[in-house]
Amino acid sequence: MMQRALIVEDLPDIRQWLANVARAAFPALDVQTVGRRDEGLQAVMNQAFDLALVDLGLPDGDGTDVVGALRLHQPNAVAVVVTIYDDDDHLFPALKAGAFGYLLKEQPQEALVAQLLRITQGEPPLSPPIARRMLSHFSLTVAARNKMSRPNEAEVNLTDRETDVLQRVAKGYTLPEIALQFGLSRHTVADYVKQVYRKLNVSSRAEAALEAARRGLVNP
Amino acid sequence: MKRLDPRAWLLASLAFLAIWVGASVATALSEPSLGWRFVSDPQGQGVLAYETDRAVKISQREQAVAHLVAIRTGGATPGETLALDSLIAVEAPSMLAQQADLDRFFVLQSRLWALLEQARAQGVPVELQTAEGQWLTRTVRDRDGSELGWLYWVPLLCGALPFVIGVGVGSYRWANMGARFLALASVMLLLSLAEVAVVTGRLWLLPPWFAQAGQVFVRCTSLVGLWAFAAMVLYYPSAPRRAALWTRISLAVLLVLVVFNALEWPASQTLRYKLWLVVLGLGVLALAARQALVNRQDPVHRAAARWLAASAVVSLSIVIYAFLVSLVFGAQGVSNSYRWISVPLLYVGLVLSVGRANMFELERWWVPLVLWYLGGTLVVAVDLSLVALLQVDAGAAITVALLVIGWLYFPARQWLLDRLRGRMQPDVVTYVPDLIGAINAGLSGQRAAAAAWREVLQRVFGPQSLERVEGAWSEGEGEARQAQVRDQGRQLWVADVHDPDRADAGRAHLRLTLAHGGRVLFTHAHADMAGRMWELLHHGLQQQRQVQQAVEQERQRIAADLHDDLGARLLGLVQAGRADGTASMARQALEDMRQSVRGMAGRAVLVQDALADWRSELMARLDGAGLGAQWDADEPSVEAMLSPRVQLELARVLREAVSNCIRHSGGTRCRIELRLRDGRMHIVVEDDGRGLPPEGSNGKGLGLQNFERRARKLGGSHRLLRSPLGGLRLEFEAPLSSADAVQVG
Repeated sequence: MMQRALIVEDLPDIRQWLANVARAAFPALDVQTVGRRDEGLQAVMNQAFDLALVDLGLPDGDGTDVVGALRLHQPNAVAVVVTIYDDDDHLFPALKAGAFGYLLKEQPQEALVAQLLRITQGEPPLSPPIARRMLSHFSLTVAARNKMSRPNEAEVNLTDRETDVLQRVAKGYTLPEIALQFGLSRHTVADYVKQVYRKLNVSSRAEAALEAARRGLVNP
Repeated sequence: MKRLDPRAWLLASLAFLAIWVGASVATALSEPSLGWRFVSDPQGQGVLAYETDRAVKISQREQAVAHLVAIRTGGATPGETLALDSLIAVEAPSMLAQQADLDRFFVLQSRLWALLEQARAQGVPVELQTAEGQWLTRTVRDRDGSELGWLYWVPLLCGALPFVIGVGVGSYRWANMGARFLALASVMLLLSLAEVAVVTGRLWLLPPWFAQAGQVFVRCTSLVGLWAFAAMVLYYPSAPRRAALWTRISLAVLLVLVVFNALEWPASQTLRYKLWLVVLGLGVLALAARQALVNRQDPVHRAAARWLAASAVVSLSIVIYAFLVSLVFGAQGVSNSYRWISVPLLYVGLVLSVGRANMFELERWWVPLVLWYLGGTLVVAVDLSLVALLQVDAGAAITVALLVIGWLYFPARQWLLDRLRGRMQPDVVTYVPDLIGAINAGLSGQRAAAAAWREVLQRVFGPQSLERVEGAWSEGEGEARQAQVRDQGRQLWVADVHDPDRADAGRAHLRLTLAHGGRVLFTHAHADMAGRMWELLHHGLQQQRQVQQAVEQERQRIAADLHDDLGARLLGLVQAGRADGTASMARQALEDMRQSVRGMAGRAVLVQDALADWRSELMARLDGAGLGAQWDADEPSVEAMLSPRVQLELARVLREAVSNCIRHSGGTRCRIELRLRDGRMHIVVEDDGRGLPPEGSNGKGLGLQNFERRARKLGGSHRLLRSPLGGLRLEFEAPLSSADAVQVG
């Protein structure tokens, strides 16, 4: 159950509006709002949250850092990116850092509420460009791991079914269509997407660790 | 076997050479001298005496100091008279056909040697009877070094020089069987020519201990030498399957022959010596023909064969010249010594081929060399034919010959050389249009530039094959040049084009094998040219990349500004929540702005990715609106690309058409069809709704003007028809590559 939410957004009107969206989705929610990246990091260190809505373009830096900090210190919290950028170039770093979905700011309130509820219920959105980015990310990290002669861990590698789902999304099929093609329930397909999101974050951190080891910063 | 240092080998060989030459000189100087050099009388009557410094041995009687027929020891009581047989001064006793003559030669030699030695021991002069009957008195003395003369030194040098070359090649390329046999042949050459020098360079006598032994020795060494030469041709450049077996069998036969020669059995010179020289000579020719046949496809071996053949022709022509000159000028018996000059000349060719000098370095000298040689040949030919055919005076003949050469041959040669140089080394300028084409191809990305670069190389060098090889190539191999000649000129390695900002920059190169399909070798001129072309291309691509980066940065700046300022305000309007439709318009404006910015800041995308994005978006929208959706699209080629602008405009067309379906058609089904044909995208969006609005209404709500506008922008067209489904059918088509749209592949 969502009890405490953090909203990181620099424009006061939008901040207020996002708070309304969050309360509309979870009526009993205790919402804290901040306008800067530093304040967001501070809040993540000091308080516990169940949900965070984070804008990416903050005056003092990138909201991705707040997402990363939340993932690290409060792994059970759900971080959601709120943006007007819906292209993969902007979103993908935040997803890698651990964001579990994204909301497009200009949507009507009802649409945003519905979207937020879906994300928190474990059904993150997945567009074809994001799916393509994920596919290339996983194939690259697998290649990198093979080069490092480390065993492939199931935790960071996609299963065949997960890869199939990603490939179909990348080709433009919607999740209901994919469910139909595989003879699965929509819920099961959504679970695959959730797993992919989780593994994206885990493998991104593993990748960072490998990179650090390669550069001799850390002894593996 | 432990590999000896080639320098040590070479040093040891030079020491041996010094010892052997010393021994040869000492043997030659042991001959007692009368201060004359003797030549057989061509008419067989005694011998002719000449000054010792005469370089050319031409036995013209009138130029002789004296014509002598008999000799005896002088002093108070003259000794027994010895008739001078002309046989005694024969230049090369090995050429005597009859064994009986040879035997007589040895007997005469030793008797005369004894006579002179006796006179010297008694301190008395010798007396020589001229053909006219007079007696001349000469003192016997030690032979002077200056009396050795060219007749001695020419054969010796002609043996020593190849010895150094052959042993040098052999010790540095010991792994090569051909080089080993060349070294052996060279050693044999020195051994025999040192003996030949003593014989042909003698005043007239040979030391008794030397005369016969030398004959046997020179026969054995020339057999072994010619055999080694044949073995070299057997192994070089490529050995046949049973080479080792053939070598062993022929070696066994050779050893038997050497033993027979040493024992001087059988009596016939032909059987034990001359026949085998002919056999070996024919063997060399046959083996050379085999090598030429087997290796005719390889340009390096062809170049080697060409140089070898050239040196053979030059050396052979020396012998022929000597023959012709003596024939035309009526001078008989020009010394055989001078034919030995052909040996070092032949070695020049051998060093180039067996020594594997870098053929590709020499290629450009080939034509000038042939022409140069032709010039000399022409002088001789014109001069000789003038004298021989027109009976022109020798002095006038040479003048006319030089005039002909100067007026006709030199200009012709110059013209020919200029033309050849122009053809063999095309200027980079010739290919500038191609390079500019390649630079422009860079606009479509690295892959297109790389493909264009390959095309340029293909056109310039016409290689038999051109492959891309991953990995750095000049590491540890000297300078980081952009083009290198490899594998003796069979290959040219050229850097591939690369983006210097990328991590894998310069990690791949192109290997061009066999220039112009193997007709020529790659030379440094080729490498220079490829390197210069690469520099030009690289420079051009870099410039272009910088321009593109600047444009990109500017676009991104504008995009960021739009987002931050306009975007924030529009968002404010959206969220203000006014009920008069402002929010909806603002949302639409925001969406449009975002699409424009994406088109502005975006990169070219694959057509298949664009199709996937559209499918996902449109199907979700139709689904969300409760319409039955049907998607029917071609599978695009893997490499087809869309520029961001075309992608944006087509996306808008689809979006608007689908919006019309949802908002205005009133139907239940929407069908979207996308076809790719001849580089154009054909879009059909149709439904089963109300169809075209009635006449009179302007259809503004359908945004029909927008379709027209977009079609014009992209250089396409659109049509509104009645759909077979019952409703409206929009047909829209536009090229994938409009002004700035690009297709790769």
